[in-house]
Amino acid sequence: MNCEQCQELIHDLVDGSLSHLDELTLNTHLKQCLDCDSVRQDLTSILSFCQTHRGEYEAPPNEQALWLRIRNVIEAETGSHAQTAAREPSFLGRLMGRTWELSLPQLASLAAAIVLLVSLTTVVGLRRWDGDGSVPNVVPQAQASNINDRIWQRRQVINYWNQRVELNKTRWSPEMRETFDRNLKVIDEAVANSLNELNQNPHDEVSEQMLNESLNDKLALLKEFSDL
Amino acid sequence: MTAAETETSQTSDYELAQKAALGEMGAFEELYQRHNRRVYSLCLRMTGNVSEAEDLAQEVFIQLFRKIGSFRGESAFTTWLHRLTVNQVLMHFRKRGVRMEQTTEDGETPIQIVKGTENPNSMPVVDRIALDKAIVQLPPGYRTVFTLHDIEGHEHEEIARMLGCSVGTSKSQLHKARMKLRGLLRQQKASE
Repeated sequence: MNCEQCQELIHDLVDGSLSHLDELTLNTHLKQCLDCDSVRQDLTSILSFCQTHRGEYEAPPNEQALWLRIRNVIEAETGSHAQTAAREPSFLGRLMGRTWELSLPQLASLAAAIVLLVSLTTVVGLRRWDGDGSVPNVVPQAQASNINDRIWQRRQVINYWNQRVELNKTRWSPEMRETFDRNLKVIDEAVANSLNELNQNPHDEVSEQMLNESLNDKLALLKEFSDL
Repeated sequence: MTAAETETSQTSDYELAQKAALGEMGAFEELYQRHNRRVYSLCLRMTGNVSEAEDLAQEVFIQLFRKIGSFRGESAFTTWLHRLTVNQVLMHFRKRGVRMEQTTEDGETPIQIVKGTENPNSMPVVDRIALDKAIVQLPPGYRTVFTLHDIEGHEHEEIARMLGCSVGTSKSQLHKARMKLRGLLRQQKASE
């Protein structure tokens, strides 16, 4: 055994994953070679220190200040959601909040409309049940069985906002269009990179997370520019 | 210890997570108090930079709040949080363009011992300060694998899954990291 082979095996020795036979051969070399034995001693010492002090954690420079920063971000996020919800009552809320005074013809029309709606829903439902090949527009999140389904769903939403942006684009100044295109290019590159990583390693959680974030960024960008 | 404190200390992470998922900031703060050091230390060891580690720890807890509703208690909360933290740091590395497989990143071949240059009696004294100082000097790829394996105690299979590399790559990175670390510790000792 030469020193190079020995130093490769020392790692397995200190990790305790060396076979009995290899250990005997290695020990023979170590008895004759002070340099390799020194490597063994040093690595054992480093590893032993790490194992002894495993579970000892260092505090952030200012734990309380860090907590306050975290809480501020969370409260700003949850607060903005709450404000949006408070500002924009739901359709159902508006419907229920109103006082309804209907004449007899209006009531009859309403009843007819309800019957028509129920019939249509039933017909559409039955056609889908028969499996006529039509693709549902929105698949609930819970039914998404894998990453491709989830990506597909996100892309449907993105397509919707993209169409809205395209409608407004003609009104934009060249500078605004350039800003939008530049941001979109960066995000699209990030999406493509993450997809590429995912194709190579479909179980890579980090790439999946990065893809989600990039798609979120794209959605946020499109929503922001769709109002302009 | 007051009655309230006793009650808090008896509350499991899972129960706190459930309360936090319902928007109870008190429960989330308790989780922060229990785990912020673990999260920060891991970020610090993986990045080797105090301000980056602090920013990442902040991001981890914000992500934790967003995702806490998805914690079902199938694994230990600490395991789940650990994974979230590692993923956050790895994302940070990727965004910065840090390559995880750095076999020749520092332009060095693995440190080999040249006969006659080593003095077996001058064993470096490993202490926390010396080790931390040496870890900071490791290239990010080496540092990550060394932190996950030797400090945090993960198996190579787990590390390979986390980093999206092969078990062989994880082992090879670790071996190089240890040898480089040894060299750095010896340099420190020599310059004292």
